[in-house]
Amino acid sequence: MSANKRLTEKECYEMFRAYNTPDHVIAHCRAVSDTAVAIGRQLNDHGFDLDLDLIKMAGLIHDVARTNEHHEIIAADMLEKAGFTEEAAIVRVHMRYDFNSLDKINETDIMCLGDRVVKEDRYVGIDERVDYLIHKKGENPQRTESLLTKKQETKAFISHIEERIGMSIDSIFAPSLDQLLKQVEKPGRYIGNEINISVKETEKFDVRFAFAFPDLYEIGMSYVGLQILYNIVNKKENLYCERVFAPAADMEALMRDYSYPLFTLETKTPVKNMDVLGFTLQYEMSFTNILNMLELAGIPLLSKDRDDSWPLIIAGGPCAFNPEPLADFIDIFIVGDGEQALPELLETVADAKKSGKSKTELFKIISDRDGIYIPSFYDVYYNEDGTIQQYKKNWDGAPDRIRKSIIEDIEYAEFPMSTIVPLIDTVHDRAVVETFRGCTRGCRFCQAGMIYRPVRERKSDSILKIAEEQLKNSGHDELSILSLSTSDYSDFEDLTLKLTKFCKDKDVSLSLPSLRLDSFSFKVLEEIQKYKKSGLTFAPEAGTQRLRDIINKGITDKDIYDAVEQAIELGWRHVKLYFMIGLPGETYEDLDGIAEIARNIIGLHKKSGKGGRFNVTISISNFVPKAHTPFQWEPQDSTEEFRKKHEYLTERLKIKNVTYNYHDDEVSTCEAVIARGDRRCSDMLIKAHEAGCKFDGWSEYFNREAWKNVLEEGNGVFYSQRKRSYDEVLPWDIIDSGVTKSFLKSENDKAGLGDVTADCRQGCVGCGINSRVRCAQGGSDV
Amino acid sequence: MYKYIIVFSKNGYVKYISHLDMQRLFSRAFRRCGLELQYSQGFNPHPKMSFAQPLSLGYSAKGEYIEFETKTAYSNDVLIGNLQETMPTGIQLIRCGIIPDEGKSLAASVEYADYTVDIPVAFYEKDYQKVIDDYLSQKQILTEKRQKKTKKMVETDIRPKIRAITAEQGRDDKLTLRMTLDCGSRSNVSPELVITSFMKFASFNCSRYEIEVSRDKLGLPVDYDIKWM
Repeated sequence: MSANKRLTEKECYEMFRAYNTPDHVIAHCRAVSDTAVAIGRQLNDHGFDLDLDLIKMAGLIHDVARTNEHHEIIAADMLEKAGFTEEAAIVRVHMRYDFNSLDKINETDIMCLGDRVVKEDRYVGIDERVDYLIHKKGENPQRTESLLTKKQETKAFISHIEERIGMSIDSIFAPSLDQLLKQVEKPGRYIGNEINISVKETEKFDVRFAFAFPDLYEIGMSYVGLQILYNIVNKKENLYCERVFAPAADMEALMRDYSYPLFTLETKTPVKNMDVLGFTLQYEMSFTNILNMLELAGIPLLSKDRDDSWPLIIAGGPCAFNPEPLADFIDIFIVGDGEQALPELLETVADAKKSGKSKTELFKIISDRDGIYIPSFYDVYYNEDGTIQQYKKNWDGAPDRIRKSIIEDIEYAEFPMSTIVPLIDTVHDRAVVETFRGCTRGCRFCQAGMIYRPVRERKSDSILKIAEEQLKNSGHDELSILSLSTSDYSDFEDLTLKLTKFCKDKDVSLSLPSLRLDSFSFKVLEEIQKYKKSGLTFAPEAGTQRLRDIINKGITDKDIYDAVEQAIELGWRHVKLYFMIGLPGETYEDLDGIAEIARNIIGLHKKSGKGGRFNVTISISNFVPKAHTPFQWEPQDSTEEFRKKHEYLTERLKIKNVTYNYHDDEVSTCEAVIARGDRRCSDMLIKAHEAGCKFDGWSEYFNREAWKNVLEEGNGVFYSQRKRSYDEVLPWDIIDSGVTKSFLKSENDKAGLGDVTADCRQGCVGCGINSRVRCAQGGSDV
Repeated sequence: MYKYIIVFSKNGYVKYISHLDMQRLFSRAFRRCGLELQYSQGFNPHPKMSFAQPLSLGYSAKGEYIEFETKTAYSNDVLIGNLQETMPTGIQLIRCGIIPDEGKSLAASVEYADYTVDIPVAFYEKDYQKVIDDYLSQKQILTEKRQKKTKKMVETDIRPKIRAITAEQGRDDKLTLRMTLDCGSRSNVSPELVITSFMKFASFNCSRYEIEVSRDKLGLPVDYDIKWM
């Protein structure tokens, strides 16, 4: 018998058969063997010279006789007899073993360590393993005590090893992303790896930034703002922008189960290792997803619970114009255009990091910049009736109000020539060029129309150039243009003719959203939608001229019917109309007006004698008053009132060939609370999050019961259904959108009288933005 | 008109994108490098391009085929070089060739496929070759499959479509199966059906998601005419 005879895997399994070792014990042996070898390999990489093969075989065979009393002795005797002396020696001691010090570490130490961190057939770490043993056979105080002593010894041993290998034992056994991806429905959401993503070497940048979109990949990747900021930040050599999205329910469950932290798509780095994590705030109902993502990342939710070792949590986007419901969670808000403000902030973070400045020092440096709001510099005091008494600065250097950041000339706001092209299907998967920012129409319910002022156009040459480059670099076969109102571009006809020709030559389909339906538009639509006529869409928003005047929606009945007549004449068979209910000043006659329009359109089709199928879809949304609009003081209808109106409309719209759909009432109520909420709403968000609320904007995931309780407890009606007086301090008064409060008041007063305000392209209406920046619409009386 | 075939592999994260995603990916890649494909006629023209056989989500592959028609002739440098540059990491173009413009499509020509299936059970745990032989010597191997049109579950016998299975000692002494199965529009069996029925037969103590599958080869008839470039 040779002393150095080594057991082979084949012999091992023969022994398992001979000893009738049960399958679950074999699985355990394999796991111990794999675990011990992995630890041994790490040690060997750090200067040790352990016999990994011995560790492997000793681990594999150690419980071969497990079904017997004193199994380790039986197994060891048997192994010795068969000539496997080294294996036998390890197996003999594995039930009671005291670890050597690190410098005398041997194969027995490693195999025994493996045995102590594996539960059944899976690595779990020492804590979970000991817990499991304590409860396994009925608790016995003496046994428990000895197990706890063993646990402490093992922990000390582990920490010595971890110090040497420079990583935690846990991290060696972290589940692979592959394991998770194989179990989810749409793994393509989490793989990154798309065309045109930015890949950078880790040594070369100072600040790692994760751009977080608090919804699914398919939604987030359709958002142009992500592409713009991703491109701008990654152009800077010292900054690295990666992306992260909210995982879907199946992925989230696995991430929690395996303790797999939220990661970036580009490098699969845990989000908590970023320097800065930035959320885009597109929609109030995504706020619970923000909290959920922070939790999945292992980052404390509240700013006050995060010391300087945590990433900076920032946020921007339209909802940052009322940042208060998120003020307790976010360190820094960027309000307004992000193209300059974001990279500037990240550069300052890079400097602060280099010079070892604290978070608070950084806040002080940036706090007076346009668009930077640091909520922790302000304390809010409330009146007895619950309204806000005042905002008090706790640092004198902080500005009284935060002026939104404005890019004066969007020609200088770099637009991506090369965009990330998703590998999986997304909502909008196409080339996109922004033609202009802002809107001149002044609809009184519209937040975008107020906060994106002034109108700033991109030159048509630039638009064409960007379109060409983007199509070349992406391979897309669809181009869309982006703005709040396509037809309002100054040189719209010329631009459209050029784009149409360009797209035709390139075999690219062109999509022109929210067109004003005049004869020119029809000509263009005829040209670009030759075969597939998608439905014609129209947004009158209100059912009568009276109400349309109140909301300042400059569309007349004649506009609607003329457009529909033309559409029918040209062979369109589907018309879709958008309306809002619950608008200030609305009566049931206005709802009748909606039905009237639907009926008249059906009538127009009959009169045309065209025959064939023709249908009208009426899509109803619920009015949600938003901050920084003329209707910011107005109450919202209650959920019950909305329901009543929907029922009323359901009756009125029982018209042949008319389909009717409407938006979820409870979601709209919730949205209204958060949209005009103050800092006390953060409690509601936390409670909703704790009740498991997420993806609240998706009707099928919206947790009615939980939100109902949260709103009841948090006095939701105070925020949604209360009419504010003009002299009340509003939570978003701290943000200066550039449009003056006196303009908003006068617009609201005019609404009450049913007076309209003209489009400001026809003359300055005095919104106040021109006192901040040059406005192409005039207003020379600065 | 010119008709080409490209052989490519699919590895790493990109294996998590579907067959439809692959079609979109290639058609965009062609556009990005300015390769002009021939379009079909009719109301809804689409580029003439198709894969020999769809690959399931999560499978890696060593030699997949795509065929396409172009308006003009292209060199190897363009078809492999330029096109490769516009591919995501994980898709490697291996070689290209010219195929006759007349005749059957690739999908109709493919006859069989070879798969490697890595299973996280110990190779020596059992005599797996014997288990396989027992599995294959069954008169019938009935599996349930949902019918596409009627959505009903129907039982089919997959045994005649299994050409061969062998057991091998794989990485880390784990079990590796090599399978050759019917593949193509004439006779086809999804490897998933074979894997799940074999897992059941061999009573493996592991989950489907722990198993790795790679398609190593798509088998074309020996006389299939490709002029490799």
